Amino acid sequence: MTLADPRLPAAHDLRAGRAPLRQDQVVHLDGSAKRVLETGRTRLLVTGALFAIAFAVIALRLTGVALLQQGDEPRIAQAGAAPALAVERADIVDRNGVVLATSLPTASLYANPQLVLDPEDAAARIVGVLPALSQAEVASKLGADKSFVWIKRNLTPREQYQVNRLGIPGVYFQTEERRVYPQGALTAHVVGFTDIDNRGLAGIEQSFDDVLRDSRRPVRLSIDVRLQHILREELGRAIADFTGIGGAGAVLDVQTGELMALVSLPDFDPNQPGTASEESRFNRASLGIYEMGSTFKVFNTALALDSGIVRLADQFDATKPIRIGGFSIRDYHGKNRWLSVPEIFMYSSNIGSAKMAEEVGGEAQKAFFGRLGMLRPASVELPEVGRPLSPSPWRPINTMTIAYGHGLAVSPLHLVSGVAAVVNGGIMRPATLIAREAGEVSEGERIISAATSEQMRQLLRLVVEAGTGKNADVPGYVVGGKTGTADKQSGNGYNRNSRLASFVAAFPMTAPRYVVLVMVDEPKPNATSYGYATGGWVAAPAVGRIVQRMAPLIGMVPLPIDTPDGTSDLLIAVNAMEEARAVE
Amino acid sequence: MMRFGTLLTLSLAVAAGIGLFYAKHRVQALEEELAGMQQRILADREAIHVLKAEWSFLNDPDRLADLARRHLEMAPVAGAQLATIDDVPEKLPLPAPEPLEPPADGVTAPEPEALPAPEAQMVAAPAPVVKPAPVVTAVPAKPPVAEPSFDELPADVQAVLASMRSAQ
Repeated sequence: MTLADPRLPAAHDLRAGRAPLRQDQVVHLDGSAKRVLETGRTRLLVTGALFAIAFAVIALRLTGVALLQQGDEPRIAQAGAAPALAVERADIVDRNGVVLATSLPTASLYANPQLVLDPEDAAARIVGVLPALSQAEVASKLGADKSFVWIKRNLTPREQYQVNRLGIPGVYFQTEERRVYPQGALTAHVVGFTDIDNRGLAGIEQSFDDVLRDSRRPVRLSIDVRLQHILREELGRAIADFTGIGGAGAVLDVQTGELMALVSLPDFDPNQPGTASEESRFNRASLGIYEMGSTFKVFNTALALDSGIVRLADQFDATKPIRIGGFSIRDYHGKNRWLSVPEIFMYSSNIGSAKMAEEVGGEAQKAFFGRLGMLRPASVELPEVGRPLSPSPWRPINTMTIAYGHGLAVSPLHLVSGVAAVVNGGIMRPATLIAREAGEVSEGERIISAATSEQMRQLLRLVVEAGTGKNADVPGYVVGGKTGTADKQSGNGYNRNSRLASFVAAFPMTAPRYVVLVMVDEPKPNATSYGYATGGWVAAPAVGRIVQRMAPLIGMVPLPIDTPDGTSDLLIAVNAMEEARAVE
Repeated sequence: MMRFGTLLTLSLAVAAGIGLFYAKHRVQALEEELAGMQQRILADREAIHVLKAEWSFLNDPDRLADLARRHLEMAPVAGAQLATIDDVPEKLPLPAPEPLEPPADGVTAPEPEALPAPEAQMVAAPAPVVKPAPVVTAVPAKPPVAEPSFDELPADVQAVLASMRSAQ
């Protein structure tokens, strides 16, 4: 019922507003009709009041929102930050931020064969601008009964422009990312490479595949490309000079275990891993397992001295070869007399080393090499790590041969980490390829006492000052090291003419900071080496050159030679002993 | 009265509408500008990304070594070229004094190398008190490799020396 109902004349009255009421027009309602009308009025009033309140509230709120400043409201409108660059895969950088691996956008060419009108003609035109492709192959791809075929991945911008200009229907571009290694072969074995779909296949690319995918933050390696370059160049020179078949090298920070450089030669261009030979992709520095030879005498001597069974002044009979189980252990630079521990070390006597190991015993030796991490794969962040070959059971003859580095095959990485632990005061820290902040250096594990480490530093210095490693000396940098020349195993025996010449050094010996290793595989003697192809002739000069080049680069000031800090203080009593013998 | 209210409301509504239109228009323009800018930022970031790769590529140590060999007359730093701040003498080495006129009382001019000049001069001519500059009074801790000439000294040191000479 509405108020305009003709049955209710009063409605007219209401609508007429303020029109004067005439007496005869006034209708008096009684009974139910009046009650209904009253109810209607009341409802109208209430509804009207409610609406009025609601509008008032809205108006107030609107005023408040539109005109008044809210507390948490910024005075100036803020735009969202510009979108970050969407990269599929994070960069890999060196310790100084030099890009070692990055992803660059490229265009890849694909086709929908259903939409290609004339496959033969299209193929001819595409091959016209992309001559690397085979026309028959492209034609068969374009004629295939599919709706998606790749024609060529990762075009250059120029190629993309040319293909685009052909205007062939059904041929499209897909924006992709391509992994690029700006430093090329320099860090090939460390960084590794990816496949065409950007999945890591080797090196850090493989071991950090998930991290590189998920995070935008670059992975910062401990490698320093400058040192890497020096190491690679000098290692390459040593290999070329002595016509070796390959080599490995490393520079390790003795305090943190960070690898500043890690090189394996021959290497390859990670931008084109497909063209690299199996040989060049092999990482000799971490995956290669070698019997290291005399460089193991560092560990043998450290063990013997640390055990307390052998003291520096002790002497061993090296007059004649040891015969054991059909083998004979002899010396290369034979002195054929009794030798003191420093002499055994500096002349690299196999006989003396074997006797020292015999004193200590196989159990202690095995435990020591276990603590040095030489009985398990190196702990570095590379998928290519070699498993050491250790004798089982550990027989007395093994104890004797391991003393001078035969019978236990480890990777060059094992060797440098071990030497770092011997010279840094006796703390073993696992080698790492990831840059460490000052607070992130691991505690490490003590393997020898600080006093033994001090003695070992003196012995290592002695080798360079007076022993087999003279070619590695660099004035002012107090290099100390140990040569190694190991015959390579061939078949059941050892081959005298295929060798591994190595030199492992640390400097400055007063407070070692870096360990440097150079190892050359199968060097041949050359005109300048007097018929030698040993560690002292092949690898030691390379180490010397590396130290000479890298020390100024990292801002290391040479030590004044004649001061008490210098070398003279380091030298131990072996010289006096020699002189005494000469007088006799 | 009612008519005035209606008119006022109407004109307010129209004004609000026009105001809204302008505000919206401006916001739209700003948003377009913002989108354009963000597009450019993204393009720049992409360019930076590519340039970083190129920078690394051009910084290939082999290439730099080759360029340095061909275009620079420089050699790699040798260890002997490095020194710490402690190795630098604290005091400037003494310049070779120019020959002095023999003083009236017969004291011969001091040997240039034997004694520091200012002290000797003060013995010879004590009357004018010259404030000795610390730079010239001290004997150098280490013998200098090459004596720097007078002209190479700092201007203020030259002035002190000149005033001492004129005071004679």
